[in-house]
Amino acid sequence: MASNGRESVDSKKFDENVKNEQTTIDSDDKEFSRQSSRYGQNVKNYETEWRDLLLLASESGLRKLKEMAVSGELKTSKFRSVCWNVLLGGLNNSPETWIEQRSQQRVKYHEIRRKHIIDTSKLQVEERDNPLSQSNGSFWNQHFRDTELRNLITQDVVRTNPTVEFYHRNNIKEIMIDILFCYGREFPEICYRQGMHEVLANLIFVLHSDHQNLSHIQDETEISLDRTLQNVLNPTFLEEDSYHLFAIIMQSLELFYRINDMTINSSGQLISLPTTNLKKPDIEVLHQLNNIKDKIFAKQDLHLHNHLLKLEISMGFFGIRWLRLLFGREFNLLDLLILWDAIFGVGENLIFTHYVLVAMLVHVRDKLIPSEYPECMSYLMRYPQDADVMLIIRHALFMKSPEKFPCPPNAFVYVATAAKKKKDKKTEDFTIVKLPSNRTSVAFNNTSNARINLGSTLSSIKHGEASKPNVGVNTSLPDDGIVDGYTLDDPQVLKMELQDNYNLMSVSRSKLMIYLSVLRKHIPGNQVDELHQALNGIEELCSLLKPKNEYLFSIPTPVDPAFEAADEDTLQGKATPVSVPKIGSSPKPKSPFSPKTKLNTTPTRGTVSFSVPGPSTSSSPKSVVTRRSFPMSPKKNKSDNPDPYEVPNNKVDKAILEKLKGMSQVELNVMRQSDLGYYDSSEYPQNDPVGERRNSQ
Amino acid sequence: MSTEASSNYIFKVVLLGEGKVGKSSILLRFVHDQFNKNHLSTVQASFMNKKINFDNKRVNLNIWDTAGQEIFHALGPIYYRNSHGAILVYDISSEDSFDKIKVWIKELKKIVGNDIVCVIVGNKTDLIKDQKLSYDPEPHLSYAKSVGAMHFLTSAKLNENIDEAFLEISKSMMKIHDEKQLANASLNRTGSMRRQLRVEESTEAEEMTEAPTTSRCCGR
Ligand SMILES: Nc1nc2c(ncn2[C@@H]2O[C@H](COP(=O)(O)OP(=O)(O)O)[C@@H](O)[C@H]2O)c(=O)[nH]1
Ligand SMILES: [Mg+2]
Repeated sequence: MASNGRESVDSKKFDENVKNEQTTIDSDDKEFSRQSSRYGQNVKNYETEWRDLLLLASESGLRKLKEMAVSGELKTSKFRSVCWNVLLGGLNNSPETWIEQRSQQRVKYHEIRRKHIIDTSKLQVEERDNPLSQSNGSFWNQHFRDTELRNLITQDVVRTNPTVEFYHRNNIKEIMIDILFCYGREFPEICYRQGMHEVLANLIFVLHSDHQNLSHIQDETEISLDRTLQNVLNPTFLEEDSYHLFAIIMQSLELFYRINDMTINSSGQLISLPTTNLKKPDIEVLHQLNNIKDKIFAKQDLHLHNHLLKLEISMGFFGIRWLRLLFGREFNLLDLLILWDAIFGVGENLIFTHYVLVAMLVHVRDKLIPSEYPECMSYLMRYPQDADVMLIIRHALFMKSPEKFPCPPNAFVYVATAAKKKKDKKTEDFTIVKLPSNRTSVAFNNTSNARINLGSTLSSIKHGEASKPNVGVNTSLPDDGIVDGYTLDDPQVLKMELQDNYNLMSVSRSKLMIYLSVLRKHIPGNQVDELHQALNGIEELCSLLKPKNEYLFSIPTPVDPAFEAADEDTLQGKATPVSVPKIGSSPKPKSPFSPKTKLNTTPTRGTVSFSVPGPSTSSSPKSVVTRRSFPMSPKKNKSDNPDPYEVPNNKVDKAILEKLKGMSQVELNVMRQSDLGYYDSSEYPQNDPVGERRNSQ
Repeated sequence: MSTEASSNYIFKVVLLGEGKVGKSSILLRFVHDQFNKNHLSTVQASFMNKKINFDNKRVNLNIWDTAGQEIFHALGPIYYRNSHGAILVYDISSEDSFDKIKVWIKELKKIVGNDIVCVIVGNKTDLIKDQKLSYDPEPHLSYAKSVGAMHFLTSAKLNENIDEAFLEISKSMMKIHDEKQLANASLNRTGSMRRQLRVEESTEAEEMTEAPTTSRCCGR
């Protein structure tokens, strides 16, 4: 997939940059050539980085530190745990007081530990009551519950990341169990919940790495390092300092673990409150996910949003784990730490996770959009490990603060046009889709968004609107169909509009290329530079006009095998027909959404093929409609049997589903020559100057 | 048309049971024919898809594997709601894990009703062979019978009875589905009987997609 290729190149570049930086350091070292001074240089670099960090940690440096955190610059930091502490407020902006702070934090943890971890053997006999007594205040009762909670925690901890030896050292396992147990007792309303162990595991790893770095440096030098540094990264206090960092992160992260009307007993078991027994449990993270869906996802990519909705893939399926583990299972460790740098760098109670989640969805949209439930689910439950984490971060930053961060050039950007269509016979099917004006205006204010802007702007020119971008149109909202501040519409309409725009872009590109070659022919070679610049400019614009997702509709889209979704046939390499309805042979389309069509596909295993005829072939169909079926699974009749455990749906979902309900199939329309009468076929170029059009006929 | 030999079935199946009884191992064995002593613990849920051929019919299983304290009561429903089948797993070396099955059965009947096919699976039978354990399945068998569930003794480690369990649950789900279809048809597609079941026409039956489908409901 074209875009993916580009993205991975990007990430490689990124890696190379980092490598280059390191090699420069290395070659600097070589100038000294003598081993001893080389070591000296390591120490020097280390000390310099530390002194820089002290400056960054101060109030005036904090902004820079945050910038570094969100741009991946902490990747090679030897003080990542300290940076995180500073970013999250675990260490304050006055490094001269850090020693004192650390000692307070450590003392506090010892108190917590003493309070909760009771050593039965050290107790006086008279303090213990009968071990068989089950009365509530009983010491033994407490002891049993402690054991149960510990078992629950242990069961998860022993299976943390089986391939990494570090987590299976006995001391590390013990530290993890003790920290999680203390946290569970200190915050009984949250207690211990599965998933926390993996967050903690990564924190301990980072802290331990910093300790290791320090001790390597110490081995290399006689001179003693900065006192604060030695204290803050004292490996003796791995447990204490890990607890502190964990507890700080949990202050925000606990929201994702919270269940509002259930309590968790001291053995770690969830029990519903008697009064709310029949109510559905109020799972906070599902509210959060709904919010993310409506406030961010629907605005960033309504098309994908509706696709998932249609397949009945609720955000909860994958989102709970994504958020609770802070995406820990979705990225490899090195990428994950870069992502965490950014999440902590943005701060604000981990609000950045919301945008990251959406950016991650949009990042794999080319895989999700053509896929049915099983493939989609596999992509989401096993997120592609080669995803470009920096691209996701940059895109998420742009989503969060478009005024501060540019849209990354490789990101998928989805903008629905608000341009009014000319009335014609088909327009009954159309409704105008609008996104909140701020979103659209953002897109138009941003130059790096040129590809989409251009497409939309062109279409508004085409439609006889003034050449101004259609931002203004957004300010007036139609009366009907407004839910939660934005207009709802059939995803079909959006798809058609999107494709309409793609078509327009293609046409414009072709025509421009023709004009360009005509101009080139008539302009002598030694003309003014400016003229050639203009021509090059036109050519550049042509390349921008190539719809990013065109291939989605024009070539078979192979679905990358996802490990968990691979079925036995795939594994054995046998090709078997699949359940995707064959598209080609339907005699006549019956849906209102398929205009006069001829369907043309090659049945491909697990994929839907799309083909686009060259417009020059006069015998070719007027439009190509690729039909993909989205099987509807009928809902249970809700009024008959209200489901007390139904996952909270919101108004938006309901309204969209309502609209989709009557249809058994949804079709994607790809139109080279439009049935919609925006432009007539005489406008089409008769040749293919770019030679890029796929001739599938 | 769904009753025709060429039909495809799509079913959702959920694996439930106490932690560490071997749910993920069973699924891994079934889908990839692997056993991994040291795999990651499941957080929340994982998803796998497997297609099986049976009796000239193609069955597409979307299987959810669950885990964690919240699956019972709080989060479980998002996985077993709309499920056609549930595989309830216990560890034959742990009576506690069987007690948990009983609670699950109650919960499922309460929330999902009788439409869901329940299969009880006692896992880790290899432990008997190793003579580490004596195990009398009788009480478990009779309990299963009393709640109308099938019972299987499996070993994910040795690949014993795993395929059989999935095959049997598929058969039952197909049977229930076909019965529903029939009832549906006889009710003149009033839609009142429609459930979460759906059938997709296979490629061979393609031409029929153009006719109003019975299985996808909403026909008037
Ligand atoms: N001896 C034996 N061990 C098994 C079997 N199935 C699973 N296990 C082990 O039981 C433990 C828990 O398995 P897992 O699949 O993670 O259980 P889950 O928590 O229910 O998903 C793992 O250490 C597995 O290796 C089996 O059939 N025989
Ligand atoms: Mg598991």
